[in-house]
Amino acid sequence: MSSAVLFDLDDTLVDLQYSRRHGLRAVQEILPELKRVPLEELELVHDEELKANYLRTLDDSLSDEEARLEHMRGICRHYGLETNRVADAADAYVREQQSNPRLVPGVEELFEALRGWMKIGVVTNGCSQYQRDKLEFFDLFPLDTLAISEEVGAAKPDPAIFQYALAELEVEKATMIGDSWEHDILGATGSGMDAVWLNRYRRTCPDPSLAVEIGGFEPVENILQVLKSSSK
Amino acid sequence: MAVTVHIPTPLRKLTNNQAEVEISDVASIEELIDGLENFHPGMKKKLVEDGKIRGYVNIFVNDEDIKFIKGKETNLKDGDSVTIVPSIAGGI
Repeated sequence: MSSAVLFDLDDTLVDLQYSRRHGLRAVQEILPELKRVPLEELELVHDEELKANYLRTLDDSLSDEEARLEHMRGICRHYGLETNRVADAADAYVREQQSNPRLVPGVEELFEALRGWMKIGVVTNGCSQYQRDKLEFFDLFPLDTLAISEEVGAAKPDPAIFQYALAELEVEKATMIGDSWEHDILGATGSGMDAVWLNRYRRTCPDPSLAVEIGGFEPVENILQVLKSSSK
Repeated sequence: MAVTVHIPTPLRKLTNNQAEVEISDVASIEELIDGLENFHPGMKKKLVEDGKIRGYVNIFVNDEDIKFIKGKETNLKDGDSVTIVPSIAGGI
């Protein structure tokens, strides 16, 4: 049996998609022209815009406020929408997204069940302060290890960040649970770890031989069983 | 009369799952936070660190962000509506 389990944070423990979808529904209310767009599709466009603008904030070519507006302008451009309601839509997105934070269902119960039985860690890509804020806010501390890419100097799927976490845990074997095939599953298995793929949205599994697949954390007993089995 | 406080979902475990609570006899946000702590222990730690409101905690009084009023010293009066919004969901 593994003596440790490592979790990804965003969209594995913290349900960012739930928050995002609340934000996007609010955008559709401000811009009814977007109501014809399925939420799943709007989410993909949103993610692409978010990523592009986030990278521009990192090199200071865009302020956070400009990025917020540019993100919404990009969505409008994508759908050929000319509007003077960009700022209203951007405000609505942020307000609704931030007003609806939650953990992925089952996380609290799973942590409770794991504590004292296995060491628990988090391996996450992102800004140190933001990731620590989330862990603090959702009462996920204490952890046996926390590897944040900004602090470690390596980001998933780089094996270095997984090796850092394993060294901190002082275990030979651990299981990684995450929603990103590329970052979590390929990263963990490439570092010799077992992996459990959290697939909440019924995506096609690229390679079932690499990871056990779960659709969520409920019921917790099933996840505990998966952890026992995956590490035999 | 009292001040109504809207509680975000993850903090409702501290308020017996109440989405709104009422706190009486408070004249500022600072007093409100102390009042919340009295009735709902653990709340202050979630909102305040080293005497300052945590960076990811936004507090609105009647839809106005207290950062643009007087922060913790922002005055309250009976009937005010206070909303706590954590900006921890990521994104911009």
